Amino acid sequence: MTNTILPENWLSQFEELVFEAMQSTSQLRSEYIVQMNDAILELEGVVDATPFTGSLSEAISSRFTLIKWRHFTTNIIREIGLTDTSVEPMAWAYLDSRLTKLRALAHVLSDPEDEGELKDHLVFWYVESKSEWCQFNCRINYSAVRGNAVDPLIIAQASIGSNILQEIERLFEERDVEILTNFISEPLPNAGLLDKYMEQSAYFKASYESLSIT
Amino acid sequence: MSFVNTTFLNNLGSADRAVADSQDHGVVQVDKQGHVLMYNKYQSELAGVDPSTAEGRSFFTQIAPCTNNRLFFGKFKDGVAAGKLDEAFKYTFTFKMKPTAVEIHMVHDEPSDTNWVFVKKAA
Repeated sequence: MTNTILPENWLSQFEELVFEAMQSTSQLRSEYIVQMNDAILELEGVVDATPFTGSLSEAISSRFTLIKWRHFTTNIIREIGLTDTSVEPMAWAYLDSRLTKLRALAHVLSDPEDEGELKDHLVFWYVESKSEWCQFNCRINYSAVRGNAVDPLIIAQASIGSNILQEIERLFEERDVEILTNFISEPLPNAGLLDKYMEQSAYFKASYESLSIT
Repeated sequence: MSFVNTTFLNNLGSADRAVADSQDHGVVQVDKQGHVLMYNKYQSELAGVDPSTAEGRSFFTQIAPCTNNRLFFGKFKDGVAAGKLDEAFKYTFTFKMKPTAVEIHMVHDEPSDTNWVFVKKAA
């Protein structure tokens, strides 16, 4: 839809303004969060289980708004019971970095002709995000096993990351998720298999080409 | 001491879905490679994964990828290879949920030649 009055990225600009205002006035911010809590979760929910019907770009833009996910992040931090107040802004920063990259892709590849390319880049983004989540998970569990305190920010980031991944998986075909999951679970052996396949393909291609049919 | 009921633990060979669902902890039966054969109600609710989705897939890499490391999957593989899997430890599930502290007990039941992963949310 073309809007001649508002700039194309008005929503994200608006979100930024709202959050800047909220951050400068903590009371306003907490009131706002309380009010938004029911409204967002009841009407929309963080996880949208319905299959998307529009374009991939529209689905990303509508399902990954900063306002919705920042709200979710705040709730997660409360649920986990993290008392360190410095965690929330850092968790938001992590969230923003993930979502901004994603939304930027959706924005720049919003033309219907770009749908295939957007899907490819969504795969890159997914692998990047899931690999990062794997590292968070590793740090949480190895820290616990070694008897070290787990960094609360890592706990928040793991939560945010895994929930974003869950939501993004809804934009892929089930088979695609399986392929990506298998790849990430054992990247080197899987990459090795691909390498082997490429080698064999090259060998068969060369053998075929060397056949002289007279 | 394991959180798993001793009677249940001693009769794993005859544990069907109804019995598994009646336990107050997660019951996941897996084959030697870690593919899920049975996924009980508790585990389904804890992880938000339907049994029909879990069964047939790899528990360690597809259903609970947060277990795909030496601490968890490694212990499973070592135990299965040695033919005497019996490992109990604390863990944190982090995938598609807020980080959740759990207790784990993995066993190989020799009489029935079956492998099990039991999960209980830490108190």
